Amino acid sequence: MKNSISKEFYEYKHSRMRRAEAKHGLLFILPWIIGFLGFTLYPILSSLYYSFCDYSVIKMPVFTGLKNYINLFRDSTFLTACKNTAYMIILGVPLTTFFAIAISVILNSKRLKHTSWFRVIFFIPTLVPTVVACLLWIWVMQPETGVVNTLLGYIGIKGPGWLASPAWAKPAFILMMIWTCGNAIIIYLAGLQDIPESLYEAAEIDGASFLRETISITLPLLRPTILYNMVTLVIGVFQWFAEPYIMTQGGPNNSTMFYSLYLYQNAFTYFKMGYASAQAWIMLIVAFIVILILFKFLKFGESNN
Amino acid sequence: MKKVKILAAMMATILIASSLTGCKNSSGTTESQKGTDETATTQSNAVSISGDKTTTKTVKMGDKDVEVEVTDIGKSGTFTYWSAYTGDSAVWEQKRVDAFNEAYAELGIQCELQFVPDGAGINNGKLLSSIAGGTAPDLIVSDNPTSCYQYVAEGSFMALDAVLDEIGLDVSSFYEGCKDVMYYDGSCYLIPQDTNVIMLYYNPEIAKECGLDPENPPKTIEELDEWSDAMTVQSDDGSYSRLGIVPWLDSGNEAFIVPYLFGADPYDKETGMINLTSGEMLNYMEWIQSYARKYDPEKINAFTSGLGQMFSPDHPFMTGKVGMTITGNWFSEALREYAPDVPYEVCAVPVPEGGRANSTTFGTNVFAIPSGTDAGKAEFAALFIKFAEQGSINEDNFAQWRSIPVIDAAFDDVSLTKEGDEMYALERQIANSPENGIPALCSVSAELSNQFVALRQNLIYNPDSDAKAQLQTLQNQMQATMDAK
Repeated sequence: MKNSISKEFYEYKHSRMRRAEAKHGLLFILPWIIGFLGFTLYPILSSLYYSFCDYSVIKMPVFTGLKNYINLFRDSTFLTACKNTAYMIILGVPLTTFFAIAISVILNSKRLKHTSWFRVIFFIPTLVPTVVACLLWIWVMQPETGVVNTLLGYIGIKGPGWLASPAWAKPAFILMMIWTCGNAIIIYLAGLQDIPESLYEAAEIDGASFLRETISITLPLLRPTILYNMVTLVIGVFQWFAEPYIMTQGGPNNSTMFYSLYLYQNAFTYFKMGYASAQAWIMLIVAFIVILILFKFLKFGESNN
Repeated sequence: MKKVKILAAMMATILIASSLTGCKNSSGTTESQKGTDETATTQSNAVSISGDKTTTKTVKMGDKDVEVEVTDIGKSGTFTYWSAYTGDSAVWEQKRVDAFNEAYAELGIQCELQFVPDGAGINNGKLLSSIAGGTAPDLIVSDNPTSCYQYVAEGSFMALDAVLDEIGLDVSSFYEGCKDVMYYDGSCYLIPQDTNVIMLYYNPEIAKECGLDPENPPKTIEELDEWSDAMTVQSDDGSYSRLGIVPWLDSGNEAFIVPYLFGADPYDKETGMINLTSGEMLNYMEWIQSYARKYDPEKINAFTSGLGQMFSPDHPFMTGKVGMTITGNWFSEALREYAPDVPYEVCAVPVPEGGRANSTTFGTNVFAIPSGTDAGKAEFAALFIKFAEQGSINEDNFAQWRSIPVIDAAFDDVSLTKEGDEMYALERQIANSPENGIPALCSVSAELSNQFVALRQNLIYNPDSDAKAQLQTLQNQMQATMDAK
């Protein structure tokens, strides 16, 4: 029987029909292959080449070897941009993840009524266009008349300068990140609903508290979802551009000069496309390393058992 | 099976063909451009032989009838034009283009206007991409002359001397200060549409309230500081409810406007050297840092964060949070629009000894024709520039924004001059100072400006740090960048 199946498969594999099907398949995906080669692979390889060149887009590229990479590590603005981005990854990503999980766990609670309405409320901010959200947050964070400082004033706290303060500008952006974590909440909720109810029932019989259930059941079983959300968030932070571009232009005192914003400035304001390409490749490598660390830390591919 | 095969082949062909349409389009354009170039060259010869014909016509500019000059170059066609203007200026721009199209309708020349925000795509890479991709417009007007100058240095705009001769536009009588931005390596690349002067705006009521004489505004930096101290009001909790002046507000936040008035020359065109460590520049930085030491910069900047930009009723001058500000003549329009009840007076920006007294840097909107523009279309674009330089076309612009002509003689035709407007007379007086100019125009203008602003912010937030050392580092770094070009 086994021999008969493998013989049939061998005949099919080498049949004219199989070859014809392969040709049709190739024809169907040919436009995509051409698109991929022309509009994805070629630009990627070009950017790698340009990263070793002095290239201003208008003039022809001149090969300069590793000069761009060496100059980048001597560039104080680049180092500041790296520090600011690292701040957001080390502080902003975990905080956003914490709040997203906490809100999801609360919204998933059986004891809470009308949870669908709350889910809608938490998802609404993600529907607000970025530009509108930025303008809104400029108002919200206004030191003199903004909502945040007004509320803080009611409890006797004098709010900081937020976007006007080099120390508080990044925390202001983290608050904004948390505000727009509705997408992550939806994904966490889907992950939470995949956790078998029987595990919680068994834990309750054993007398486990809510905190113990969260630490021993919810978080371990939510690990793949946390990994996915954190990876997308880290990539998002590396590519973070619109918010600082609209709200602060990198200021005050370069405190919100993030990686992508400086890359953009080099490429399109200073005509340093080669320099910007080198910056992009460094970003790719660093993002890759950070994601590998996350994979290791959150035990990607390992079973919960 | 056969149907599937045919369907697959058809789909692949259609999709490949549609994908390649864009590529074919550009090669087609090149071919047609080549053809047009030849035609244009022939026509240019014909035009230079026959000479140009300029007639006068009356056209509609919005609701008004205006008299304009129309030049016949013996050619017809269309050209694309990217305008940086937004808001009220965009409305005015549309009227100007409509007037041009009406004036040149009989000659068969038409301008196709597109509004491209952020400096006509100059600040966001759109123009750069379009020039590199061969899809650039035939003409732009941008409000960012510094970046435009860097585009010139990169070879992105075409020299206009020949085409200006062709259509008969003489720019030799433009203000000398404007010529800083117009010329690069002896050729003319950028044409200012109009220009603006920088002044000190002050609130006379606040001045009176503080025992100052509004009729006798500050002339020196020492007097300005005295005025500022007198106007500053500190609350019991240590916060400030009003400041006299924030030196880095409005035009003070521009890279080199105030340093230039202090007497600094950040870039020497003759020697090709960047100079950020002159005595005048250090003097300026010391002045800035003295304010940062006196008042907590975070508290000061809290006044100016938020949406309180120039064109919003939250601007600190409009809300009375500052008594004075250094800005351009356009601020009068913002005040008229958003705070008509706030009184204001203007005077020349006070400067220290050795500074450029009663002078200004010229803020300007510039026209440019991207490199690679078809010769014929470049002539149409130049015709538009010539059209836009006319007093009758700029009259609304001058009246509304108080911007000024680029030629002194043209002041006489402006309604504000005819009406005897005092502020406009002061603008004219300042515009005629031989010390005027546009500083730091070089092949790294945009980067130099941004890095200088970042450095200044650092010095403001760390007022006790060594300004000279930081300026020296930036100077060396930027000089190396420029030399490497």
